[in-house]
Amino acid sequence: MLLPASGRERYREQWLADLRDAPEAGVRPASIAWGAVAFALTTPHPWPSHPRLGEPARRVAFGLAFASAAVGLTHYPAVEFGWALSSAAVAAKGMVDGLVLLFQIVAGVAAVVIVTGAQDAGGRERASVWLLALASAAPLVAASGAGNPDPYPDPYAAPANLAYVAAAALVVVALVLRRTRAQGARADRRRVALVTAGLGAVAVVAYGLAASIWFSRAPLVTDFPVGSEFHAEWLAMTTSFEAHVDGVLIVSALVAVGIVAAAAIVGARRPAAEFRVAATGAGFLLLFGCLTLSQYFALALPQPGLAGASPILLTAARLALVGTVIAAVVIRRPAPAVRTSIVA
Amino acid sequence: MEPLSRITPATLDVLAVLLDSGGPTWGLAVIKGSGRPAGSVYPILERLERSGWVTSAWADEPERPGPRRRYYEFTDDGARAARGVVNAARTAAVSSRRVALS
Repeated sequence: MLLPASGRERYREQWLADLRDAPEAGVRPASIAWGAVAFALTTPHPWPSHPRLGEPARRVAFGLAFASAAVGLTHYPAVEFGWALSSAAVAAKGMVDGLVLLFQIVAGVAAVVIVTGAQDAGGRERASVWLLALASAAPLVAASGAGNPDPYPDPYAAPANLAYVAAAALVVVALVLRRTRAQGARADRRRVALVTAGLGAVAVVAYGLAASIWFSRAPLVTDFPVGSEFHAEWLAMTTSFEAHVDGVLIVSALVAVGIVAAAAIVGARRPAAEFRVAATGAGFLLLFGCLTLSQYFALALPQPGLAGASPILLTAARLALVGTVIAAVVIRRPAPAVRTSIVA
Repeated sequence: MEPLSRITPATLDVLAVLLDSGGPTWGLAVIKGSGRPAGSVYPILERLERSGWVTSAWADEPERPGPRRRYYEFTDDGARAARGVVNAARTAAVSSRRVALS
């Protein structure tokens, strides 16, 4: 089904013959089978209805898929552990999360449709978009409820956690597949470096404020009635590990700012490939630094609550983080013309 | 015939095998001759065929029952273009080797 109907019978017969005669040719049959799978997955379908979309449209498709996956990953540090500030905050956060999820679905599906239908999309390019779309489904695993068994035997080994780790791995593989040599004048690289560094700084500040103020120091207001004794116990528990949380936050933020700054300096001076790798690393470090913070709460609290975050700050932080990584990875100058004139 | 959008080292190897064979060549022989995995060679052959560099046809081998082998052969324009690309690549390789030795 992965091949167009017009060519299906032809390739089926060709590959069956190759499989049969592979030992005679000294080729391993497994290599033929794997080659057929790779061919079906990566070769553009030469259907007349498939347009040649050109580099800009295909770059948009990759950007959409990447944004969808990155937004999905940033959902993890925003997982609700702790307490609700108020029912209004819970409602606002629910609405924002719903909109973000809707964006993810629309962007992911649009990217897959665009790149799958583009006749001129390369195999690696197509595969990278598919992997990113798959990675963007991680929050759905968490949202399904299956990923968060109650009670938590080990939060780190919960299926939802593993889904996010798998999603992060898929994103890395997709970036490697998509890897291109960046071109551009020094001024262009400096501009991209500054944009990335600026967005990274916004993400650090927003996450820092959300974590240090709302997670641990905001007044405890639950959206459901609790007894005063239970209320006091929760407050005492919060203050007991506040210092550890601050430590994790400060170290994460310092390292992240240092890497983003280094990436900006390197990116302005050297070809942007190294810069993109460094800035992407900074983005993921930011993400998992905050993830550690959230997990700390998950481990420390006997019963995860509804929400413990400022929806506005966390949304700003997630958008800035995604912007950082997109600026680092997707923005680039068009590749130079390939040397094909000699064969015209 | 359309120019190829990209010419990778694997593409050069496939073109060289097809040129050296001098006639219709079985796809599996291209895999063997180029030393490249089937996952690289199959898409390259498809791209060459789609761009009009090669044509393919079923083998007429009544003595071999079952599924038929597919043979690939350059078109006239494809052979000319392939020779140009392979020669240019070989010249570039020799030049870079000389530079490295000097």
